[in-house]
Amino acid sequence: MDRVERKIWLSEIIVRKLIAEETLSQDESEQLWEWLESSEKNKEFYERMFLQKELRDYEDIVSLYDQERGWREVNVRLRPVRKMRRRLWTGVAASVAFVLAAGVWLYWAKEPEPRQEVTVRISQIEPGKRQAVLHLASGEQIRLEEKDTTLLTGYSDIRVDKGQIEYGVRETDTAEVYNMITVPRGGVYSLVLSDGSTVYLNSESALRYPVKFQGGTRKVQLQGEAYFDVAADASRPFVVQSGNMRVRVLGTQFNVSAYPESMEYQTTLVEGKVEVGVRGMKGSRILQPGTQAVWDKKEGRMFVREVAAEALAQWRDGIIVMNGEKLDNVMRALCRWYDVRYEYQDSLKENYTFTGRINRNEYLNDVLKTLTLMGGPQFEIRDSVIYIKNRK
Amino acid sequence: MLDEYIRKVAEGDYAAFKHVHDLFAKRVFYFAYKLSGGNQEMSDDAVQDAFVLYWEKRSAFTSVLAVKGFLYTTVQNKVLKQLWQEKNRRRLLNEMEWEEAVDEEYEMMTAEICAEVNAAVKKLPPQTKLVIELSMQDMTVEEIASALHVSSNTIKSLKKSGYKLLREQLGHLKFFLLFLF
Repeated sequence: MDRVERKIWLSEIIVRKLIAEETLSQDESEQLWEWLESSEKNKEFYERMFLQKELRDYEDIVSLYDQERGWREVNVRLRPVRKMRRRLWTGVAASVAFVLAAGVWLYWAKEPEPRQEVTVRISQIEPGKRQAVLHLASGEQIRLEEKDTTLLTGYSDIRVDKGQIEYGVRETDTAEVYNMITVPRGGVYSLVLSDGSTVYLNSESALRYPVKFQGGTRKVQLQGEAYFDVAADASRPFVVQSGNMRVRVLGTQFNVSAYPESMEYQTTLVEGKVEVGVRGMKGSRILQPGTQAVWDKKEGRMFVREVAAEALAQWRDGIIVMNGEKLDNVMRALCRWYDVRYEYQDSLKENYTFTGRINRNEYLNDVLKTLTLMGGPQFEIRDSVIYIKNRK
Repeated sequence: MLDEYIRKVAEGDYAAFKHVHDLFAKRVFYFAYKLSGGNQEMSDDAVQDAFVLYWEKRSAFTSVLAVKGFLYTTVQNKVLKQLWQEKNRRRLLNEMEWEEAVDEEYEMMTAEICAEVNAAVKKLPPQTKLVIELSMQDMTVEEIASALHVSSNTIKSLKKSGYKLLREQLGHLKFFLLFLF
């Protein structure tokens, strides 16, 4: 049973506890108690279930779902696949017929025609660049391009300078005002916070932060990947929150990778000392330089491993260092940076992993060629999609 | 037996697939709806995506638990990805969404618990069902009796037989759980 399945199984135990308590086996009761004892939130949840309010909410919400229509939609979406399969077979039949005909023709012709060289024009896909969108507390959004250098009107303390935005110290404000920076696919951007800490944001990432830090902690929220160079201030710890994961630091350099669609959130320490914790999980881990904390969201566990931390943080200079990296991880990172998609054209015969470095300032084609040279599969780019094939 | 249906689906039985859809679509919708912050369109899409994918990968599943796990996980991935990619990113500025974002598992458990209780209650005879529903809304036997203009004893026995029926219906859960250990 994985984590999700275990939760489904626990739900069923709770259902029987609710209305048919005596059907629980001893083992089931024990498992339920163990779960309840493991966190306060679990207990609160369990007690809420006994109040039956949830049951009424549930009824209200599911009544919004039109089951008949949903089923029709599922049917419509499955139909083309079935048809295609039939078409595929007629296609195969046709090509068999063609091969037979060609064979007969070749048999009769004395000399087969020389094969024509087919040249395929491949469009070059350029790497990402410095770009971002600044979201002000007023709801206003400002596009920031590579070359922009401006002072924002009305915000004299914010300076935008060629791919970097810098917050000055604001003396007057007492209220906590939040801004956010989002970096799209194919983008990268850096930011200097009001305390002097620098944050390098990778593609498809967002950082939410106060214009001026208030109170005893400097707290920011991250989705995606960022490298932090935190200004030392022992009296005000710096906290990065990503979903349920929290990284608490004093003054240090580290990298956080927390893409919501990824099963693993990684915190890599380059210098200094940080503490990584996950909400609802007992115990936090303190990292030493050169180590990485990995929170496995699926299994609900966290472990620490040694990594070449400095090398991993080199994405800021365009260098992606891989150390036994899985093909999917490499592809996902490339897709975010070049703003493309990838698909498997064949089911691969090997589990490819990569060790080495690639330069993402190059054209996508060249990067993919390097990956193939490193022993990877064959790639082909068509219409912003990378198709992955077995090596010939 | 539900696992029997799952095996039939694995062999390509489309009618069994519809049965599984009808049993699980609503609870998975509930989950999607909660995760997406009440976005009906996104939830509809995610539910349909999950079932389309399930059919495409049907041969890989042999138990109800695995299918449920797959449906919830798929819906969660779809919704979170879409929230992140498409939805007006301005909403991320809202503190609540960042803070409360990751209680998915409780929502999933709520969906499971409510769906099972609901399904069991729906199968009760009308009078019994009414009494059970009212007592689930925290009404006492006396309150129900006065509301329905019948004696407390009648309510008591209806309630008793109702819970007995529920227990019998929930037998199937127990049966399939035996396979796990």
